Amino acid sequence: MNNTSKYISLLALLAVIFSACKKQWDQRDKVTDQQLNVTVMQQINANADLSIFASYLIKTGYDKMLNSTKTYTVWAPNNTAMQAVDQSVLTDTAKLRVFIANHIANQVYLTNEPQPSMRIHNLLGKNVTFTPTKVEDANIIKANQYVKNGVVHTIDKALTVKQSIWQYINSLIGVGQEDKTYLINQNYIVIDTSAATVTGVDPTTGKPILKPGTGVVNKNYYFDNVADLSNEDKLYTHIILTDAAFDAERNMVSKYFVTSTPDSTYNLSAFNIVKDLTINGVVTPDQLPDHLVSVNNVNVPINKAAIVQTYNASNGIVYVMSSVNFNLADKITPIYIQGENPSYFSRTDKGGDIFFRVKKDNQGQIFNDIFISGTGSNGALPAKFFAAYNLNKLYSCQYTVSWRAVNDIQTTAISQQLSFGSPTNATFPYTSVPPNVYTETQLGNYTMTRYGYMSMFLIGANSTTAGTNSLTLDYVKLVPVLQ
Amino acid sequence: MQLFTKKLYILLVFGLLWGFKAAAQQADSLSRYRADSIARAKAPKISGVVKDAATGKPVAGINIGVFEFSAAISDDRGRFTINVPNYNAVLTLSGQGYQLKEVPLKGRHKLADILIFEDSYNSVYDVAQMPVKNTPINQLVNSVTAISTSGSWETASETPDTYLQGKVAGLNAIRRSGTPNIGANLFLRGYNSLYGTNAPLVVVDGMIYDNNHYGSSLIGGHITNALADIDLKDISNITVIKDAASMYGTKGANGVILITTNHPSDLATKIDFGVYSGYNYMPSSMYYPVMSASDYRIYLSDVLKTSGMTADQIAAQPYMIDNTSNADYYNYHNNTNWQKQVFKNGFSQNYNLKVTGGDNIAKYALSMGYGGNNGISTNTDLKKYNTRFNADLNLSKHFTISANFAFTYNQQDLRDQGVYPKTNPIYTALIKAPILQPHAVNSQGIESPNLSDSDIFGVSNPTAIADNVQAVNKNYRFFGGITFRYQINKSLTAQTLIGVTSDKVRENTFIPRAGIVNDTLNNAIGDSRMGSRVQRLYTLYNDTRVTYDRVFSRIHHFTASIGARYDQTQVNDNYALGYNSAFDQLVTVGTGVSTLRAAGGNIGEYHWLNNYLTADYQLMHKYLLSYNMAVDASSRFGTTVPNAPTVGGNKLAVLPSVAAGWVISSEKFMSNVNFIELLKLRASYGLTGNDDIGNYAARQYYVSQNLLGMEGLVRGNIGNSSLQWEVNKKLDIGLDASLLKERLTITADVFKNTTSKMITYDPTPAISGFQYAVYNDGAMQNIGAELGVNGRIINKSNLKWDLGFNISSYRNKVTKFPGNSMLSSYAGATILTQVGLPANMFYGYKTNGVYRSDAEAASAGLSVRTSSGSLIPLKGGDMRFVDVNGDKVIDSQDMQVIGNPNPKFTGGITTSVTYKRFTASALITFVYGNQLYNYTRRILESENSPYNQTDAVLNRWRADGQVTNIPRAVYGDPTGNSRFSDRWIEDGSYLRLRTITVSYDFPVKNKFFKYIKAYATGNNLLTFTKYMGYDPEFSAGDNILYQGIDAGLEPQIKTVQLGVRLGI
Repeated sequence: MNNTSKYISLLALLAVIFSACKKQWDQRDKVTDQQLNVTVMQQINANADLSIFASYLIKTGYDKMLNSTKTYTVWAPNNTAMQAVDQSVLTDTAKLRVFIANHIANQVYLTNEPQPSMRIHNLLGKNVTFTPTKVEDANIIKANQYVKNGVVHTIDKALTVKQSIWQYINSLIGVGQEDKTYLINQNYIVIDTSAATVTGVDPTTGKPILKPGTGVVNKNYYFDNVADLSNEDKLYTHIILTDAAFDAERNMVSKYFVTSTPDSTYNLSAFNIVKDLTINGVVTPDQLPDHLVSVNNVNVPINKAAIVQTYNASNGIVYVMSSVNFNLADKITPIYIQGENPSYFSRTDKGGDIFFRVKKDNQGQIFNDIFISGTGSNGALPAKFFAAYNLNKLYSCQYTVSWRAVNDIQTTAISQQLSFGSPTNATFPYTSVPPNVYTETQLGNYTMTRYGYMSMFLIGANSTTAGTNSLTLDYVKLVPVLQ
Repeated sequence: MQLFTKKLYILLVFGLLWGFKAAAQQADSLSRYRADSIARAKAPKISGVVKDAATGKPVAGINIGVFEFSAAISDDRGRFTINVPNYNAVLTLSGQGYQLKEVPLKGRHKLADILIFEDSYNSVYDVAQMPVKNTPINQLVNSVTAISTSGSWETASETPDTYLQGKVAGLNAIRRSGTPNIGANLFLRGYNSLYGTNAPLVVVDGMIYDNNHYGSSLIGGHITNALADIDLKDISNITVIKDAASMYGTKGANGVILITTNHPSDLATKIDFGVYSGYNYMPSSMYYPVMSASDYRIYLSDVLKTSGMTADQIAAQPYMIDNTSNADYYNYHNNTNWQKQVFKNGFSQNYNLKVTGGDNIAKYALSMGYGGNNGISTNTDLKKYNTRFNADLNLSKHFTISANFAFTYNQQDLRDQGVYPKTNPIYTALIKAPILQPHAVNSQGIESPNLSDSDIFGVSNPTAIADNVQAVNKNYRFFGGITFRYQINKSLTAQTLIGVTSDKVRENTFIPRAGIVNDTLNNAIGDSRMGSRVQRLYTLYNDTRVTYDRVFSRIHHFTASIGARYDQTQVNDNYALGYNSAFDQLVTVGTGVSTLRAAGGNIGEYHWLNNYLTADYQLMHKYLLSYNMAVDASSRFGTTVPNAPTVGGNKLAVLPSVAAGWVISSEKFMSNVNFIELLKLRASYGLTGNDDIGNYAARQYYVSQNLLGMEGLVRGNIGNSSLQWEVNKKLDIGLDASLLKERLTITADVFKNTTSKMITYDPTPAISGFQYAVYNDGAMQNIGAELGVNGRIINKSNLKWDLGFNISSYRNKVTKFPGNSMLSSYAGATILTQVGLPANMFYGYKTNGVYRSDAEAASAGLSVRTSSGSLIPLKGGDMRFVDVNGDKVIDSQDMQVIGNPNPKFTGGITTSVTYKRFTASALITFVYGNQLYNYTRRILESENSPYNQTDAVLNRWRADGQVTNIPRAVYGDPTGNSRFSDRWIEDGSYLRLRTITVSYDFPVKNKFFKYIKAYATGNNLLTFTKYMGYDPEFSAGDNILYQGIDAGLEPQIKTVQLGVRLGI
């Protein structure tokens, strides 16, 4: 073996060593599971039984999204299921997009996650109910087909797009129109400056100038005060009254809402009815009891025979009913005016004599009240010192008026007067509050002719002697006299 | 103490000096010389022929001598005849350009041809520069490797410590990182101490070179490497003494590296000028394969789903909105390769000028150098200036002075490295989301010159760190000594060395607020951060000795030295930190908010006195005996050390050692064994010590304490007055052999180093107010073996091929430790120190793949315990941890040893081929069988946060039935899938083409130039490893508990360099 061949063999040896050494990462960063090399769309395309669904994905452009780098869960109806879908949905592009989006959700959801069920937002923002074996009412035939950017579950039934309660109410035709109109009339818009586009600043006021049309937020008084029927994340049972029932119930309460205009009376009485037509949670027809409790804690008598229509909405259930026989006493309820919530006093310099108390009564019940007494050190209370209460939303009717005034400090009785409208009206005479009496005292009757505002005055004795002109009030109760 | 040691020292020096002088004068007499000349005339003669080993041609002009007897010179045909005292004599051959050689006659009357090698040849006749005298290796009884650097003009950006890598069997040089000048951790034959230093003692020109790291740098992960202040081109010889028992007393426990700088050898004026230019590069194939933007966003989506965010919240995040009209669209829709932002190929340049010359009274060597190196991290660089002046003065026939002065200045722009998650550019580049981009963009996607701020995920902008952080280290060192030597008579020499080290390190740092995540201080949020630090070192050194060297009756060669070394070291370190300057153009501490300003520092001072005795005895060049003893006093030692002699209340460390050698090949019975040139058996045994026990740990001290705005003093430690040096017993048995007419040299050693009285930090009861007290309570041992082989495979006049190979191995074991074991942690690793095991084992969980399904996990029934004590059952996609104790709960009871950072063996292969005027040489280094903990990869595969991950995470578990070894992505990782486990332990073995050099010596006809040489050098060009990090070689700190932990340092640099050297 000569030298040259020695060198050649050495070089060959080195070459072997070099080629034998391979970067560890070459094996490690390669995707081993071929499923992780395909996208959701490719996975759907690869399954011949999903070909119809795939074709609509392409038609609606969702195929691009399903090839993208966000993660998705797709409940893909198989061809049999797709053949059962109403052609009107499939031929209308807008409807089709909604239909397709109903089958897709952001993020990956596998069947091991619902325990036992979970509600998942799909791309429409609507919730679908997902269980280990079902999605909504469709069975999962082939679950958990994981791929690079998501997962595909094959299902045997297309998911129909459900309307929310609010969408359903808006779509009502021929029934419950009065109810519907009332609710829609509650819509209003506000400008949310934080969501608006600011185009500049007004040089004189310093306020931002908003680009017209931006920052507009649609709101609804009913949603604000009762329940947001458009919220997909809540579940409600909502009752829509037929026009006859709506009128009947409204008429029942309208005399308590007498105002200067018929419109406002209509609105107030209508609100008094519809505020108790929404119930938390879904009560399916077979579960319906004889009465439900509304979101405002009012009993809603249910007569199953009165159900005209039923609709399973995406956020609950809607019953269109021909009657709901509310109990008037549940609707027109007594009004309490708490003594510790006065609006103002006859003088502003007697704060030191006014006590907002938290005490226990003789039954051990805690109550809050107001107690006003000139102790002398502060100077005596003036004669006829009063506390005034601004009352609102008083029904137009006659009331039985009573108070609960607790005199648990003085050994002598307190003499005080209640008056409506003006402190000099002397609606009721001076009434004695003897020590340590915790019961209500009936004062007499008072009639409101119009629904709405009224002032009430609690007036002390016409004396300046400390201890004789004290005032005390836990509450005043106005009980409507129902007719 | 100090007063006493000075007195003792003066007494010792002068007493011994005069005593020896008197004895030596008596021994000398004229009668001996007269007898010699008669003997010479009658003596037998021997003849021989000297030939060049390469060409086989006779060599003329070689000096042939018999020590103190006769001399001859070879003639044109290489022949010589010389008188010898007898046929057991030893001929010594020397000549210009040739290696020294000894030829023992061994009773032979006729000699075969004597082959001599060129002087650069690596052989058993290499001279080792031992502490008291220069000795050829064939006469040594210790385990020594000597490296003649020959100027190392071909090297590229090496410091002396990195230069030694792979060249010395038993010396494991682990380069700390790729930062220029950062140097290497040197572990000679394993390690000997847990808390003390494990670095070998470095002695430069006889003077201890302080390369400790004092204080901690303001620049994260940086240390100032004092060895970088020695320019490699100024070094002529590096001698590594591995069993340096007692030669340097209580500083020699980790072996000794003796560095000798250039002194002129001849009188002619010589000028050497070298110019180098290099290119540092990091190919993108070295990058971690982290996810691209598209894969990252899918991962992000997966991990955020488990974070408690709803699908709608995730979809509303700006990076998930794919609508180009969104204002943030262009900010979050990019695909940035952040590693490209922080790594930048850079240039280096070096200029060296060396002038030597003189006359017979004064000789000098002057060298100057300038270097610049940009490294591979964006905007980092190093500038260094060095100058050295060495002189030898012959003031009289007997009195000589030798002076060595060096001054070095380095200025380096750096960045944080290691576990600094907010400011380490490499770390942030790895975890930074690729969907972001370095520059701010507006809603139309138009890029601003301004850099983008830290991001929505709480990660700094790596480009902002690279561009705007200031972290400057400026340091200089003056290191100089003068040796006065007086030849009292023929056999007796007295010498004293006085030297000074003055060193200063100044650091200034500024971290801007823009683009970088805020720091959380204990009472504020720190946005911009300023720092300033100054560290000073001053050392006064003296080494005074008397040496007696004489041969009796031509067969007894006796050498003895007695002397003392004195070292006084003062260190102080001051720093000031400031925060929140008004804007990012105010970069100094003073501009920070005054209430947040902090200052601190420390001082250290100690005195060390080492009295030593060295005695060597050689009988007939065959039987070698050496005795060393050190008697050390130090201000660090306690005053009540048991079983130690006391002088004036000071405890002394008495450390003797003995070594013996037998040159078997010089025996008569070996005279016919021609293939053996040299065969020497040697053994050494002795004590040595480690004085790195803390300047004040043996004493009580007080530290300042702030209490409600009042300044006071409190006890700073529990002083242990019986604290002593660590004792290290070294046993070494070795064999030196030279075979086949010096073509093959073998050195083999086995050793056992035993540390006793090892410093431990013992836990103390809480009632003491301290966490630990320092004791000498531990013990450790290393057993190992080394082999070095050098061979000349081809030896022709125009083609020479040398091949060398060295390999070494050690096994460390803790043999005594208070409480039997200790756990410590660094970068998320748990490190076990336990009796019976090596001192720094990785201690964690073992895994066995990933549960394929929930059902499989449920049937295994394992749970993990959370910090609140509740149990979380493991599910599909979780790691299958090994339940060691079978209690179905994965907790600390299930931790076990999962890795050992100590290599099974390390070594190097050197080769050099010279063909005509070309020389190609290469150094290959290898490490085998060590395990590394890849902290960086752990962060990049934890799958528990929005940090970017490696491409391996693409294989993460998604759904039941998937077979993979990457667990599922879970925000916050409640089941601890990313805990410290064998997932992060990797094989650290590597084989690296460390350097390769081709040089060409131009034929010069011009009289102006003596020579012109050109060099092409490559550094770290090829590395074969299974390690998945940037590079398997790194060291996060000197402490052995940090070894093998990849905390995210700058990787080793690949460099190609071209250079020209001109000789005038």
